[in-house]
Amino acid sequence: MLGQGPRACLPSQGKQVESVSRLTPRKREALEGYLFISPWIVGFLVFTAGPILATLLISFTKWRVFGPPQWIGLANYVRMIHDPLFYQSLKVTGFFTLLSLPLGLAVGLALALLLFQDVKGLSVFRTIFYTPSVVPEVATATLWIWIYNPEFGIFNYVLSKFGVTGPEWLYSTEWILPALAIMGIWGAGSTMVIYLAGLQNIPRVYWEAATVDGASGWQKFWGITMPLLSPTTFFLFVTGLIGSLQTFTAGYIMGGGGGPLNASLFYTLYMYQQGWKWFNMGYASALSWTLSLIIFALTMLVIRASRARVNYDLI
Amino acid sequence: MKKVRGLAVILLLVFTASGFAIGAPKPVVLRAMTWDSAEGSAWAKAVFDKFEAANPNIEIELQPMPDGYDDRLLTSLAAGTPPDLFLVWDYPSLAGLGGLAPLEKTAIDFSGINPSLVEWNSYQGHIYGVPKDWTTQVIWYNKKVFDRYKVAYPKPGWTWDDFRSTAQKLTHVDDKVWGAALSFGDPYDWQNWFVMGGGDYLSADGKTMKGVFDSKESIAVMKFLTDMVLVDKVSPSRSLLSASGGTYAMFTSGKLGMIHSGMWLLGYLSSKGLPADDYGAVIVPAPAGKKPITMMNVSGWAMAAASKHKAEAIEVLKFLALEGGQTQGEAGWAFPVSETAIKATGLLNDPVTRVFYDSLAYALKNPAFLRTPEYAEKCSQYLEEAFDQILLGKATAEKAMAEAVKKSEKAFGR
Repeated sequence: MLGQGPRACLPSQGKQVESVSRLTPRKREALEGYLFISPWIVGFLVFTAGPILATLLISFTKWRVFGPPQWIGLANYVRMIHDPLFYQSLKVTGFFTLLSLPLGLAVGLALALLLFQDVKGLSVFRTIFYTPSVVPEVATATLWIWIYNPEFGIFNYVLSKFGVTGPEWLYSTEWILPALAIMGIWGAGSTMVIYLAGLQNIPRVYWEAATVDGASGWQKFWGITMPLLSPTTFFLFVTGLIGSLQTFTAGYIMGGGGGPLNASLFYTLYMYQQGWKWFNMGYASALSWTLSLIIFALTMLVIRASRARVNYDLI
Repeated sequence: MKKVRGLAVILLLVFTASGFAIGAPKPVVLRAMTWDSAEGSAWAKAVFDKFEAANPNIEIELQPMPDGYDDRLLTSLAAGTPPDLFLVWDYPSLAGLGGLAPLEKTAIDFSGINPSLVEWNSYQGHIYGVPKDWTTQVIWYNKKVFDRYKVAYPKPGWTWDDFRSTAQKLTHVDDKVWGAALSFGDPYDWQNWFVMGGGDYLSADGKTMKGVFDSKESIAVMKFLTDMVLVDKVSPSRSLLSASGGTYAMFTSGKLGMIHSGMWLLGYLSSKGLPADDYGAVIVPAPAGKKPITMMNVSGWAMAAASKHKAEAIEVLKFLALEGGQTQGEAGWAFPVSETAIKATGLLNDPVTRVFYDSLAYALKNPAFLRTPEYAEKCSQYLEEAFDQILLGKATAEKAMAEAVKKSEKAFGR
């Protein structure tokens, strides 16, 4: 029977436990599981599922916020094909994802490996590296606007010490996306923590055995660490991909609304502009469903491609 | 027995309580939303307090919404639960969508208000707002910078050539001092220059930019303005401007000789403690032989078409039209809307604020955004792109402006 142990010493509660546990342990566990996630399920059903379905319907209408929506079939989706800003926002989002996703994973992993070593003050270092990722996004953005300041920013100051004239960063159509990707490293702390957890799951005997057999550090990394971390990498890759395709704040705040010249017009920012600046709610909904489909397709693709490469059996 | 007595006490309590409720009817609560911060809305609170004192049956709940004002307003309008009263400047877009209630057939008395201000709070023949306050945009100049390089202060009646040569004389890049700030952030602020030069952004009927923004007159104005940045280099680049803390900060610290801005700058200058003797204001320059045209910024209180308490909201608007608006003027950073209130502020005796009042007679009557509800989507974004293209050196004025017109035409469905 479940629920014995510490509870056994409380007789009155013991009775209740017995009456509930008429369920089989399996069912009981499932019930408990659902109970634990019920706040999210309820929240999803009440606050998210309804609006999601509503946007699907709205995406087939012309709806300028006031008055009843007008059914226009697929016109919003057809409009996208001829919309240069749609392609521009896809390009910006895609390019940013290509830059920031591998960079974030690599830095997170590197930090995790460093903080996996046995050194003094480990928990202090872990805290230090994790802290930036709990700073609110808007505050981070404001801070980085200063760091990237072409005249007085610390970045260009350091570059000038090496005789390099730094670019105009956020004011340059070429540099704003790399700048935002570099800024993303600042939030690598959460990636690091998940990688650390992954590392701690790997039985040490593997590395010890490899050491005894005379494997080098590189060999151990590529032969043991990376394959055994593959489920973690996979998880981070998928969530990172989804997150990065939905980047908004960076373009909204640091690009001043997608600038310069739409060089930071992220897809979700364009959606927002269509819906909230220009009142085209139908078109904005169509854009949002298209993004969902793109994310869904890419995620499925990643899952398929990962089958041969992700290893769940060795731990 | 005890039970009965207890019941009687409860019943008595219930009746007296409801009796009180019947005796004093609950006041109607109106919601009024502003885009100012809580501190910035002190003027509104003062006006509303005065109103509430005279109208005990109406209570006004002030909702200052400095962040995301537009988004919140739009969401609540879409949900059918908008605030009863709210601040608006872009009447066409909201009125065009049916979010605002027309006010001309109500008991609100607009006669004391300057007609051009009422005009700005109207769209297609309907009045949609009670003007709150206004300012024109003029050229501010920092006297310290002029004195330092022994340049004469600008005077009314000056020309574009005077403006350009003054800016050149003030610019001393070695000292990190520039003659003027020409960053063109929001195209709105520069439309008067195009109209003065015989060009414009958008046709008078608001239907096309073709033949207007790409006319040779508009191109000439664009070149005049952007050449001051690209050729004369009398203005810091946009990145340098924001890197240095923005136009206002550079002006205050004596790094900029002249800026084109509204009266709200006074609030900034006084918060930075700049002595009033250090700066001056002058009406915008005009091309030789022409009259100047100034940009104006006006906002007003509108009533939601979906308001459930229209009668009460109109009472408030009536009050605002008669007495309101002057409170904002008392802060000295904008003019109230009625002539009597303007005279009462004393702003006309101040040589700087007087300039803003005198410029009202030259105000552009129908700025582009008042000509179409789709200004932001189908005109402004392409204007902005043209300015950006030219300033970033990605295209000539001719090419960028032709491109803007082409894109706008497409957006208009042609």
